[in-house]
Amino acid sequence: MKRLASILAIAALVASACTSSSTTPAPVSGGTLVVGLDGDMVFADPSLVSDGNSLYVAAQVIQGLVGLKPGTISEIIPVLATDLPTVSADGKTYTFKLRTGVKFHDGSDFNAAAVKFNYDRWQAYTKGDLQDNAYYYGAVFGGFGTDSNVATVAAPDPTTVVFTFKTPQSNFLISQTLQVFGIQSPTALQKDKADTTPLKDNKYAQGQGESMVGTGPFMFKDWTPADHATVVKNPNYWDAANAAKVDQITFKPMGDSTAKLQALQSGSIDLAQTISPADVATAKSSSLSIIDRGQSCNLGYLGLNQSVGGTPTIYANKDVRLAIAQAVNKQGYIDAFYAGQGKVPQSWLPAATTGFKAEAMPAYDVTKAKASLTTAALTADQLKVDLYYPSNVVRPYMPDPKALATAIASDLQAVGFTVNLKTEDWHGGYVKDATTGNLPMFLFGWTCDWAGADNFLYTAWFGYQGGKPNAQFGWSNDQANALMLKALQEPTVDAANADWGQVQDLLAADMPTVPIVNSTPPGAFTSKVKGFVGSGNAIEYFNTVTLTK
Amino acid sequence: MTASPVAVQAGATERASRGLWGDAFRRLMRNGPALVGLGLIVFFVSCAILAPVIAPYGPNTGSLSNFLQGPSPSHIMGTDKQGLDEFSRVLYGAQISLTVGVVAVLFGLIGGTIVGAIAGGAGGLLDSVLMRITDVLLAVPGILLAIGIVAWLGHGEIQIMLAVGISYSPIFARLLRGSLLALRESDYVIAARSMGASPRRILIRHMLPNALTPLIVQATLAAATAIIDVAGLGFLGLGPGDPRVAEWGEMLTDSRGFLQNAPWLIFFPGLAIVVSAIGFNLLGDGLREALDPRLKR
Amino acid sequence: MLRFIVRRLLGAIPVLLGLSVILFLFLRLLPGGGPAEAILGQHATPELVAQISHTQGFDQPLYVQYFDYIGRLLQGDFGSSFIDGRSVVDSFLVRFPGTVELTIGALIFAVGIGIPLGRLAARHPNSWLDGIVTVISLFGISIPVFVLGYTMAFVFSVQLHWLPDVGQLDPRLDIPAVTHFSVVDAILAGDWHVVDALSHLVLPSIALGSIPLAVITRITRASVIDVSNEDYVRTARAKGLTDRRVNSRHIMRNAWLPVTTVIGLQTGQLLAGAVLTETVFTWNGVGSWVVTSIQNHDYVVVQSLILIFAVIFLTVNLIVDVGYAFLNPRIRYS
Repeated sequence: MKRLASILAIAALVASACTSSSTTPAPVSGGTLVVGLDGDMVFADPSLVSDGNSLYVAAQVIQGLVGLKPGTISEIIPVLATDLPTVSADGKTYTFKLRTGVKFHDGSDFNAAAVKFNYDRWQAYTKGDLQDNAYYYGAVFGGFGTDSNVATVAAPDPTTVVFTFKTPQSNFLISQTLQVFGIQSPTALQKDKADTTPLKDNKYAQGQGESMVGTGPFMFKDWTPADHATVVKNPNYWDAANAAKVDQITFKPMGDSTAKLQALQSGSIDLAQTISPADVATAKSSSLSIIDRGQSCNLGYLGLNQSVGGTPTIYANKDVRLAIAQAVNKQGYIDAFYAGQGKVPQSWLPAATTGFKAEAMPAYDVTKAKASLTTAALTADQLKVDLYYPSNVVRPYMPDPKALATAIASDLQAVGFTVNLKTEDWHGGYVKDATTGNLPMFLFGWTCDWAGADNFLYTAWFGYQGGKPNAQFGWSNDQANALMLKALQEPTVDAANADWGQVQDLLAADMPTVPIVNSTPPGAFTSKVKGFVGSGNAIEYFNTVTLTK
Repeated sequence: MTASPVAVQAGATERASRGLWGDAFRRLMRNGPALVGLGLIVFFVSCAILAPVIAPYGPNTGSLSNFLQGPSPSHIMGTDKQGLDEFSRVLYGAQISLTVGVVAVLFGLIGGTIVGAIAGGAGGLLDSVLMRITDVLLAVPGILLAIGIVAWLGHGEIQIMLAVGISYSPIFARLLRGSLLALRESDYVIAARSMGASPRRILIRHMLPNALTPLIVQATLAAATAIIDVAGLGFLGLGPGDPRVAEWGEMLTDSRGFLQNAPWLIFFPGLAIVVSAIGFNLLGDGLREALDPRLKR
Repeated sequence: MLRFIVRRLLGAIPVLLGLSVILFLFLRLLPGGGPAEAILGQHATPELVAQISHTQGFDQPLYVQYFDYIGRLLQGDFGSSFIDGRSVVDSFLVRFPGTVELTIGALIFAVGIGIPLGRLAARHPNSWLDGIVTVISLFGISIPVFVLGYTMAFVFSVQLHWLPDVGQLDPRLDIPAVTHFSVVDAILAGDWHVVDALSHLVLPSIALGSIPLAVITRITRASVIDVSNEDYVRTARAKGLTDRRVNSRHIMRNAWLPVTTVIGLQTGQLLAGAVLTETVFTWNGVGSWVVTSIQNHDYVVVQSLILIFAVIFLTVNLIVDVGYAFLNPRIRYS
């Protein structure tokens, strides 16, 4: 009994001690901003990553030649270049003028040689660990080494860089806004042997020492895997007007959405990169601000596969696809599961994407859906369908796949289908089965790498792979494929956009998939945070942020 | 488990064991908390059976536009994120949750009994091998084992019952083997052996019935844990494949984001889980005391 | 005793070998695209998955991969993650301290409250006090850990601001990670930061300790009642010994036996329970790591981690058994 009393006394002591410590105001000017990240970083060398968490941190530290105007997803602005490049008439040569007086975090100079060093370094990545992780370079330029579409990167003088391509590449400029094409200090890369493989021996990529040596308003400080990564203010930032205002940002990976919400409410973190849409109402009522991510950069859809295992499915019938498109109450899903933070797609692209063209999409109409299904004349057996949704995953376009699938199933039942709901783990078969064409009807989506039509229409979905239609949909349309290939090699963005418009017309006429949502995933921050600008592609910059007591 | 029940049965003879059961039943009926536990279980079983009669709505009838409504006269426990009536789903949930809990334990019990009986009955090399396998299973935390099994067999209620059952089976196997080993040297087994009864007959007729009591107690307690473990699996994204099936654990984990803005979605299925688990626990404790007179207070 | 320990250690070898084979096959045959899929994320086209699986050697025959793995393991190389390239041992040294602290915290809570509660209940069996203790312990067992965790965080962090609910240390304090034991690091950093570290431990320890608390309470109660009815206790009382002396000399000394066993068993279970608790409190430990590694098919990490778990489990049980013999000299191991 006595022991119990003493334990309670200790507990009370601890409790009172930390109450007093938490009420002490943070004395430092500038202060530490604590950001809840959706997951941990993967590598501290941005050229080796393709995940959102690493890129979110990298965006504070590393800068490229061009970037996106904060808050937009497709307005390209010069960053380390003084202007957008001049492009030759054949679309094969891009010439950038560089800023002067910019220094890397290690004190070395940023110049044309440094840019050339970085692009040459990526192109020379060896097979194995480096190429396996540097997805974007290979995807944008069609491969490494001699496979790359980059013919040369030349530095004729310290402030001029000239890119020469083998064939014109209309997505070059917008793809270079990605953080993975950020310029790092050649001095640091060489000194720290940043190309070391296997990656477990690569201290630079592991962030155990000097890492991410860029030119940004923050500098990399340290990273304890799974626990936190810290960046500190760059006192010598080249753009004094936009220098960082807080002293330090700690990024804390937090996978669990309820934990994130409560951490915001208790003040353990100041800002959460995303919160679950289910928590938006609670967040608002506890005086948290919801991050407005104005322009969506993703698209969630109901995938319909016209041929599974070589056998045509009922989805090869256009009336069936149309019936499904008319049967789903998209706005209802957005209200219930996205906290209204999303729009019903007007095409197969988010509206702010380069190359977007608004199409007349089928509206939610049970009567029409039933009529279309009658036209399709399916047998009772054919009306029994499987709908797959993924487990153990949350995607920006799919915050609650289970709930979304349940609601879609009930809408499909309402027009005459009998739906069997099935699930697989995202990595435990779902992605594989969807992309290899084993799932007849499934939830899927795409988050933009860059907000260009090519990234959605060609890379993600409808570009032929090895001369064959994407197995995910089994939708074969040679005309669309030819148009997309043409668009990719147009010398100007305008010419490419005209081609992409035609591709979207073809899609609207045939409904190969059913777009469900362009979402703007909500995040939230406390009343202490001021000056934060959200963005639909979740690349956001913290140099404008201040902390008030 | 303490070793005491074994010591008691070790002295019992086959004839006396029938008396043991009769005594046990009488003791159980005099044990207040155990009766409360039994009452709770009977209550939930009736909910399960009578759900179609009592429930105001079907488990999947509703409209998305009614999502997340608070408790009201038309929906006394509110509605969930699909706009379905929570009260009806809690009632129907009793069907699935109790079945899942009980069947999971049965799976574990069957697996454990077979392994334990062979090991404890045969002894020697077979015993060593089986016990080493059991050690392997015990060495892997149960929830990880379950994660692995669901990853392998896919999502679904049967898979979950198997996963939970398999993670329980080594406990049952050890328990049974322990009891059997103790019984092997007991007077009446030695007597039976000296009278020339075959080893199999001794095992099945004499030893197993006496060794089963601690298993029954453990199984009742495990039924409580099983319902909670199924909820834990749901938390890790390993729940049944079809979310339209009303199951308490799934309903609870699906609503974990609503602790603040729709607490009724946590409270009611949570209450059902806690109260039914308490029911199984009280009954299990009562059984333990009833079957082990020495524990009588 | 020494012979017993040696035999137990030798007996562990086939268990671990068997476990490694089962784990290996089990993981490699899991459905899905393997770790390549997790590396690629949404870019996991069948072509790229196949290409990475090839360069990383996942398409080698299974026995080649297995002997490769075991060969390295015998040289003390636990391999490295396919996802972040980090060596398992390095990551383990970063994350395991968190789980150890959480486990110790939970045990202190469970034993510190459970034994006094159990004794209290045993002293007045069937009283209203006993009833309350029973109900408390039943709730402890019956409430899913995550519900308890969220509710406590809501009450004590969000509403009352008494205790923190995220991680091991306040990131704003900038305590350098030296040992990765948050309490030790905080002590090293000085300035009473240890209070911060301890306050972070309170809620997760209670959440994780709730089930062992209930089990220990019930076992203590049962064994104290058991022992109290023994002849030698009655004799001691009849001799006119004080209550306190009977309690400490005769009752508790013997009641400790089953309690120790349960503490040992529960320690093994805590590692598993930590999976949920670590998620709810964003605790950087091995529990959440193993779950994400399974989901990402990060084979080497899962294999090595579970082997390490198994060694810990077997060691804890060995210690418990030895401790048991120490407490009860009547037990002899053959």
